Amino acid sequence: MMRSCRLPGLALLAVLCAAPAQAFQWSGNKWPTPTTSFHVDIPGANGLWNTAFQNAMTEWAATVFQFTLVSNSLADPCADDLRNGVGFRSDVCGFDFGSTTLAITQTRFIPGTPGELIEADIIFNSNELWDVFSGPLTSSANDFKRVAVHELGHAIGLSHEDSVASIMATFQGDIEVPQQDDVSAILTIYGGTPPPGSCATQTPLGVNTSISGTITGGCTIAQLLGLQDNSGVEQYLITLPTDGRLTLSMQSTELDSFLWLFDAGLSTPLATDDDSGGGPDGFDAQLSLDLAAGTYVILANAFAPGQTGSFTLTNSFAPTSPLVAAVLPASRSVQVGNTATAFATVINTATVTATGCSIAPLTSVPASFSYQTTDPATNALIGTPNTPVDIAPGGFQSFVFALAPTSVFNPSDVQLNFDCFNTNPAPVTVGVNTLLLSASNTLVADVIALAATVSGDGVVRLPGPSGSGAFAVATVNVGTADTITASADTGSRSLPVALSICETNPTTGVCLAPAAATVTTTISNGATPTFAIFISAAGEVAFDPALSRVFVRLRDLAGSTRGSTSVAVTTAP
Amino acid sequence: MNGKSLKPAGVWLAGLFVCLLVVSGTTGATSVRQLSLEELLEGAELVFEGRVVDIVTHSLEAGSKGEGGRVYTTVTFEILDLVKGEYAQPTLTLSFLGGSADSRSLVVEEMRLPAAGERGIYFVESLVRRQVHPLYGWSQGHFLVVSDPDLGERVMTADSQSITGVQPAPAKRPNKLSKGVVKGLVLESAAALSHALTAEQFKRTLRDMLQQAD
Repeated sequence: MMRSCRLPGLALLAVLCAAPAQAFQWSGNKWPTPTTSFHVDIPGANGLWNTAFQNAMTEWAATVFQFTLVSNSLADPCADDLRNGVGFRSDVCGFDFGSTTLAITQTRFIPGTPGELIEADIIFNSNELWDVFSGPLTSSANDFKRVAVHELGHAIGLSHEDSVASIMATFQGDIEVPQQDDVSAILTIYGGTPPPGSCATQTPLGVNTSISGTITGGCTIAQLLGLQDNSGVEQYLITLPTDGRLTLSMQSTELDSFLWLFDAGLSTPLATDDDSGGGPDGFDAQLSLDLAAGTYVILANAFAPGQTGSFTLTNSFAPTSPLVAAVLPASRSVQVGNTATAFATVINTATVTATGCSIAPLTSVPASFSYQTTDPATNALIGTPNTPVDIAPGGFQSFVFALAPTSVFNPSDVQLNFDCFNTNPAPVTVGVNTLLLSASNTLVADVIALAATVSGDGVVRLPGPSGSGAFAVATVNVGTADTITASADTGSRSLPVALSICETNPTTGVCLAPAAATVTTTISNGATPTFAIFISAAGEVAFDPALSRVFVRLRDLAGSTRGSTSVAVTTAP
Repeated sequence: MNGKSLKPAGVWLAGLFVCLLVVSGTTGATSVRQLSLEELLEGAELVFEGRVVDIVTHSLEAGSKGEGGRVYTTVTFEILDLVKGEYAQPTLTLSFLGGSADSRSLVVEEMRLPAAGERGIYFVESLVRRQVHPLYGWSQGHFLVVSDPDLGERVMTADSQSITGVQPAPAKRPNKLSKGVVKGLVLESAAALSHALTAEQFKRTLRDMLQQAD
């Protein structure tokens, strides 16, 4: 579901949330156990006050403290009778309220450290105009329930707290329910295990794991963040061992997923997402961002209040590496018994030498693997096969690697582990440092494709969100002749671009026919057809060369990819 | 003694009340409406500069069922200067709910009783009614006059923030609750006492506001 006004924007949210995580005030008194009963029989308004007070008691149920109700039972708030009472009075047991006092809570305790609470009574000023409402405070009436929630906090033992979002703020404002700080305060004072789904529960997650959860509504965004949003939320803690990219997805068929990512103190929002994950209904959430090592809070949230149900939260973490790697060509198709080779370059961006750098396949295919360093100027083999090498700070090393299939398999993206002893592996980017490999019983077309952009750096930069651009692809078929259909796409990511392709005159670069979605041509062994790919933007495309890419695929009549290449695309300058 | 150590049924209830009265304390907490300085001036029956000369705690007897037994504290002020209202006596005694007397305690949270020897500017809501808190808006109607050998007499809020200016507050406000300080003041930390208004400047501002209101 798309939403237009749910969030005030991360910047504003950061301001709203940029407060100390916990700063509660305690009166020094507590009940022997985290529970007490209130006798509630407030006459008038057809039960409105009774209902509102009971609802106020329920708001504290998200904490470890539980209020229980003794209904239709009157306990005089002015009597010292060990019974907790509530009611309207025109005075405070013989003392005038004055014109500014709305309500007062009186608690009796046995002195000690801590003092033991034995009675709490709440008196509302009947000279005031009262109502029950949500939202911003008004000048016409006081919100009975909001004040009741606040006074019940005093009955628990909390004191006024003004430094963070809290129902115990003396300047109460628009906060209507207990906040995270209140929940934490009660947990600290009374201890115990928070109820499942309460705002006091933060479930630890391991990296690269998937977990099933349920949103019950026991904790809401309003309670947790102080925003006017009563949708249910579950909290998870994740600790990243190193800097890297964290990708989160929240999938559900029972509710509209919404994801938040915060720092460990829930004080700084880092990212939110509603529907980027797609899913069967288009309501799954997904977000991905680069983070420093440390602990973060993930909020799995239902889009709207009242939505409850199960969900799956998946996280994947790719540690940041000083290594980057590229492979050319991007695809090979060989006969079993023959060897597919490709070149790779690994760059060490660190300021120290990367030691013992090697290449190994991450994807299991029936093929033997080997690698060896090459001279980047001549591509001639140097060094010793399958022997790790050091790469100087800021330097690079070129390799050739070989895969010799031992049986038939369909085109598979073979991911490679470019790793050194003292670094994390280079991130894997399909189309950039993977090899699309297939093996067959007979010789097939094997098209080596190479893309060229205007800027020469493998990036097509479109002039704005409605701009257009193009790039060229040169090919050579080192396999058998075949009929090949060339097409362009954006891979697994949906981008706001329109694509078309044509075969071009290799000398002039002019299209041989109007560009279309596909172009089919016969490519003989040794032939070198060229293609032009046209891109028209219909929206912003961020500069994200790992994910925002245009792929060109050359397929045979059976649909098997016999050649491919790709470029990055962006509308950013 | 533990309040849960009860006597057998029949006679324990009355005894328990007495027992708890002896050993228990009481706290209270409040929701007080926030005021602007204009409202504070308009609503107070008496505004004066004074000094606390006496503080006494009293106990009211409880009824047969324990009701109405409360502790209160009287604070007597020497009147130094009247800003608003008429009061001919040299001293004024005000009652505040709470205190400790006869082994009974009643502590009303957020109630900051004037301290012995304290000098301040006080906004009294009513000279007739006995209120939970006699100062208008509780601590909102309670200002301190601090004497500094170098700076003279400067004005601070009851929670010791330096008042460095006065600014008009919006005419219409929702029923928000007090944060302890009246709206319409420019505040700095206690360390900025040198920026604070002098007692005479503050009183002159109040009198000017009263004149404009007339």
